[in-house]
Amino acid sequence: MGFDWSFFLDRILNPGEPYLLAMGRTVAMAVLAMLLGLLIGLVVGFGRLSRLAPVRAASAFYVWLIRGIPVLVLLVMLFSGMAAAGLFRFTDVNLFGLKLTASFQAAVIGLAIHEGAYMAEIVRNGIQAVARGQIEAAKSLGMSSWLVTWRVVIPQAARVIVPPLGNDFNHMLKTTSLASVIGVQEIFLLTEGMSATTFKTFELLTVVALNYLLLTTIWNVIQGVIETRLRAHELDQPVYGWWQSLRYYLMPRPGSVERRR
Amino acid sequence: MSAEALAVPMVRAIGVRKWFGEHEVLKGVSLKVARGEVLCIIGPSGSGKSTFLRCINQLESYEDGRIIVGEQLIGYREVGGRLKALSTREVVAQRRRIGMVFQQFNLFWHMTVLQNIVEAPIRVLGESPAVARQRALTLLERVGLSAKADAYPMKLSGGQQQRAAIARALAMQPELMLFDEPTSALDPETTGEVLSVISELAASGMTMIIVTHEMGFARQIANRVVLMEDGEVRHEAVPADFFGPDTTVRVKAFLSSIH
Repeated sequence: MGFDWSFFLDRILNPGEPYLLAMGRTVAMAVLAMLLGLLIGLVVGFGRLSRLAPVRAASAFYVWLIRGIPVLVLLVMLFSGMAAAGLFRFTDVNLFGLKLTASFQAAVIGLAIHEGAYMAEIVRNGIQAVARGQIEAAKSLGMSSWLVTWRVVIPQAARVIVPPLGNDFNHMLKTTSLASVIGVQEIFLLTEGMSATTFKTFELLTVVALNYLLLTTIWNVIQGVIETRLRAHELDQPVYGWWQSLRYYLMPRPGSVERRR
Repeated sequence: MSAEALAVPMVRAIGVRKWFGEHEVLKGVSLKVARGEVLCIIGPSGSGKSTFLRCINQLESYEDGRIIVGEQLIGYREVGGRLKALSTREVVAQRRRIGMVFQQFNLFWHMTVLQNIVEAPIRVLGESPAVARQRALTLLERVGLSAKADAYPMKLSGGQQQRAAIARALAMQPELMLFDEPTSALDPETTGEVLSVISELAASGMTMIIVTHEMGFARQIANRVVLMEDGEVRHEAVPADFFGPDTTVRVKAFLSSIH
């Protein structure tokens, strides 16, 4: 039967509103889950280094437990399992005229819980990488624990945290496809629906694969700019602010490949 | 400032003791530093001189004795003759008027030199950015780094970093400056530029305690020199006597050990 090029190109050039909406859901799910996961990761990551033994233990327990459960199982358990047991049932909510379906909420929370466990380890490693002398200098200037954390530890840890965080977000963009199992209308579920009616399974899966690739490619650039910004102090020329970071990252210059690394 | 206030020593340490586990690192250190005085502490490594310095601004806590800066008991409150540790918040407040310069400079590497200097005045003292910036620029001129205001620390030489670190500490307008081996991590070529900034600071009347291995510098800048060994003050004298021919046997032994 072969590859139907005209169908393939048509799907790429005219995705149609339902598909674009699904794409929006995929991105929204990934971004929200990542932000929530980062928040969980910060709390649990700092928790693992807490002075209080119960906090350390609880944080370690969270990481141990969540890293041992497949995301897919976690998602189904949150959405169907808890409802079946009568523990908790997600319901659709309207947020500023935007309808958040029950499955979408469950997916974001499930993905965030999963991501949080991995983020916690990344955050912990980042915090431990901050030199003691930096913290002592901040203390000696009369900075409170909160200021030391917010102005010195987090920015310096960010330099270490962002590369693996970017890696995780790359994963996250694609892991959202698992939310299809609990019925979130994201691009993979939509693609499956279309292939069931058109039988153009290979063409449609190629399109959706290219879409995921597009998303991760865009993220690559964004991550590069963030990393450039965080490395401003060690670059060959001074870079101040986000705009200059973007320009530094994108501008083709001799040796720029080496410089970006 | 009234005559009585001037008469009160800037720093009084009375029988300060500290343990690291089983090991007693400070065995009852007593010292006085008058306002405007420069005290240099010398001694072999492991003698407790850095630890003592770090007790003054509570980067380390001490377990017995008293350290009083100005009129304030550092790190503790005296309740019925017994010492009760201050809260973290109270300790943080006590550090504000005590500047510290470290062996490894410890400039915040993610901030430019100027940002390093204005950070604490803005965030801790609540100064307006304009005021903090103005004083930072004046301080940078004083340490000869006006051209490096917008540079990141990693782009500076060790001597430049240390001068920027001194400017950062001075930006808090401290009444006492602590120097923990400020030139030990520097090349001989850049040591001089840092020492001259410290000398200039001494001449301006700043009260300073300097832990150093630079004997020539100690001799030239100090009002008094202290030898610490094995957690104890072994000798204390004005430089002329300390480094003179009639100094103690211990000082002679130490001085000959480092040459």
